[in-house]
Amino acid sequence: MEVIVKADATIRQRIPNYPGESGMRLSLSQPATVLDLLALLAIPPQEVGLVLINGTFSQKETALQPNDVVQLFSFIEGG
Amino acid sequence: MANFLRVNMSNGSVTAEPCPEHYNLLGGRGLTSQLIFEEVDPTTYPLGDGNKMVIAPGLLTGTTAPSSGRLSIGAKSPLTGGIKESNAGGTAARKLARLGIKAIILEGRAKVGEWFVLKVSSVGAELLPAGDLVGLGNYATVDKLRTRFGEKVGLISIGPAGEKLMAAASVAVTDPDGRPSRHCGRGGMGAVMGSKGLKAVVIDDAEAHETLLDLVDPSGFNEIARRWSKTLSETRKGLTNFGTASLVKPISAVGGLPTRNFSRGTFEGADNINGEVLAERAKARGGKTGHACSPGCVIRCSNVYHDQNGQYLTSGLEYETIVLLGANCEIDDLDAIAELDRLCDDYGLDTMEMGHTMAVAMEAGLLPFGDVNRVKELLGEIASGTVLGRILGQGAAVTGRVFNVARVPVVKGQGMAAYDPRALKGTGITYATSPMGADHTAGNCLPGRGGVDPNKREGQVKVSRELQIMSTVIDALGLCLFVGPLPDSMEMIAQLLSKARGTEVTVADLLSLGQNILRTEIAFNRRAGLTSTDDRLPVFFRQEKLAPYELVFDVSDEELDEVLNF
Repeated sequence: MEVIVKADATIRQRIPNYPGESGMRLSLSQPATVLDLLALLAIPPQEVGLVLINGTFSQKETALQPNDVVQLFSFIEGG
Repeated sequence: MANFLRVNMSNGSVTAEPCPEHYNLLGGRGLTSQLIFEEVDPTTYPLGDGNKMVIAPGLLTGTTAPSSGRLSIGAKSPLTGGIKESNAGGTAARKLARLGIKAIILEGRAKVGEWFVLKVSSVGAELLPAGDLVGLGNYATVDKLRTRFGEKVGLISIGPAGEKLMAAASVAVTDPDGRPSRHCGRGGMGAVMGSKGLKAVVIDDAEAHETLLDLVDPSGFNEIARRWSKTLSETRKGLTNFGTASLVKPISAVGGLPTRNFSRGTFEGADNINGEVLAERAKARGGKTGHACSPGCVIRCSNVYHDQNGQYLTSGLEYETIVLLGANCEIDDLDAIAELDRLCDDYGLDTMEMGHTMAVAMEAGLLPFGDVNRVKELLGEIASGTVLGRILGQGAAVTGRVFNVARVPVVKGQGMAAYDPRALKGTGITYATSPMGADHTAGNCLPGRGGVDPNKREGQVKVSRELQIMSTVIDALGLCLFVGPLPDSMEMIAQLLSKARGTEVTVADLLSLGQNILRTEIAFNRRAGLTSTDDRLPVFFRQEKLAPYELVFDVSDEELDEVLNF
C-alpha cells in the first residue's frame, strides 16, 4: 500500500530527498503500523512526539490503511 | 553561605540575614510561594504596603545542571487576586546565586513619587535614587544602568506600565547580550515592583564566588549534569532550530490555535508566522535562532530577530506572543508581531495578556481585527497612562467588563496561553485549576503528552495533575520548563540532588515537594477568597463549538475539583 508522510521541519532533516510541504509517498507492505513506517525511514520512535493520521491523534502502534496521510511531529515543548 | 536580602522600601533599610535552615531545600517557586504564604496576609491589597515581592533563583541555579538559570518572582497578584510566581531566564538568577543571595524580599513601599534602584554586589546592597530613570522604557533604562554600572551587570527592571501599576505589567530581566528581553510576564509582577517604588535591581557579581547549594559529591553531580546536558541538546533540536514557534503547526493540526479572540482553532495566515518562517528570516537578516537566554542553557530556544533593514528589533520572540498578538488578533505579519513584542518588552507589558486584551478590544469594536497600527497606538496609551490605556493595562478581564464582551478567555482574571482548551482539554484543566490562574507553564498538556488524544476528555485529569506537579518541581529547581515536565526529568533531578546531598533523594520525594508547594499556594488562595468556583473556565468554552473540529470543553466541575485534591 501507499501512504503519504508529512514530516515536520525537524524530522524531515532525517529523511533524504524529502520533497517539501506536499509530503512524500511511501510504499509499505500490509499490515504495517506507524512504528513500521518509522523503521523504514530510520527515524527513532522516541524522536516523534505526535502522530496524526488523516488529522486524527494516533498512537505509534496504530495500523495504517492505504492512502493514509501520516503527520509526524518531533518532541514538542512550549511555548 | 546563603542569605536572604530583606529590603524595606518604606524606611530604606537593607538587611542581609542568614537563610534559616528549614528553607535549605526550597528555591525558585518553592521559596517564593512559601515566603509569600508565611509573610503576606492573603487578604492584603496587592499594590499596598502589606504585599511583598520575593525574587529567588532556583535551588539548582549556579550549579552545572543544564538550563538551570531561571529567576522566580512571587507576590500576591493584582491580576488574579491570588498567589503568583512568574519566572524568566536571563543572567540575574545565576548572578544572585554567585552572590549567595537565596532571595530578595521586598517589603513596604516607598513614598509615592519616589523611585529607587537596588544595587547588589559582593560588598553589600544599597538603595540608590532613581529619579532619572522614571518614565523610561526597559531598553533605555538598561542602557543607562549599563553605562553607569558596567556592561557585565545583570539587571531586573520595570517599564512605564509597571510604574503606573498596570495589572498586565511585567518585570524584565537582561539576557547575556544585556537586553531586557526576558520577562517574568504573568500576573502583574511589574505592578507590584512599581508599587514598591523600585525601578530596577542591579546585580554585580564581580568578585563573587558563593554557591547556594553545597555539593557533597561535586564530581558525581557534574557527571550527571553533563550526561543530562548531552541528552537535552540532542533531543531538543526543534526548539534550538525553530524556537517555540515550532508549535504553530502541531497546535494548528489539532485545531487548537487561538484565532480571532478564541473563536476558531485554525488561522489562515498560520503559514506566515510559523517557526520555519521565523528561523529563515532571523538568519537572513543577521539575527539568529539557537540563542541562549541564560548562560549554560543547552536548549537555546531563544532567537534574535532583526527588522527589514537588518537592525536589532527584538529577542525571544515566542510562540505565545506570536499567536496571541498574531492569530488571535488576526495579524499574520511576523515583522509586525515582532514590533509589538518589542513595544511590550520596552513598556514592560506581558505580551500574552496584551494579545488577549487587544483581541477583546477588537471584538468590542474598539479597533478592527488585524489593525496593527492601532494596536501600537493603544500600547502607547497604556504606557502613557491615558484613561483608555489604564483600562487596557488592567488586562483582558477588566477590558471585557468595561466594553461588554462575553468571550473573554481568562481564569482567575488571567488570560490563557495560546492553546484553546476545547482542543487541548488537559491544558484547559490546568488553566482552570492551577493556583496561578490560566497558565500553560503550570502544566501544559501538549498533544502527545500522556498518550491521550488532546481533543478528548478521557484521561486528561490525570495528565494535568501529573504535569502540574512536575512543572512545580521544575519551577522550584530553577530549571527551564523545556527540560520537560516528564518522568525522565524527575529521575535526572533526583540523581542530581542525591549527589548534592549525599543521601538518596527519590522521584517520590520530588513529587511530594511539588504537591506541598501546590498545597501551600492553594491554601493562600482560599484564604484570599478564591473558591472552587474560581477553578472554572468561562462558560462560552462549554457552549460555543470550536471550528474546525466542533469541540467544546466537556470536563465536569466534579472532575475539576478532584485535580489538585491531594
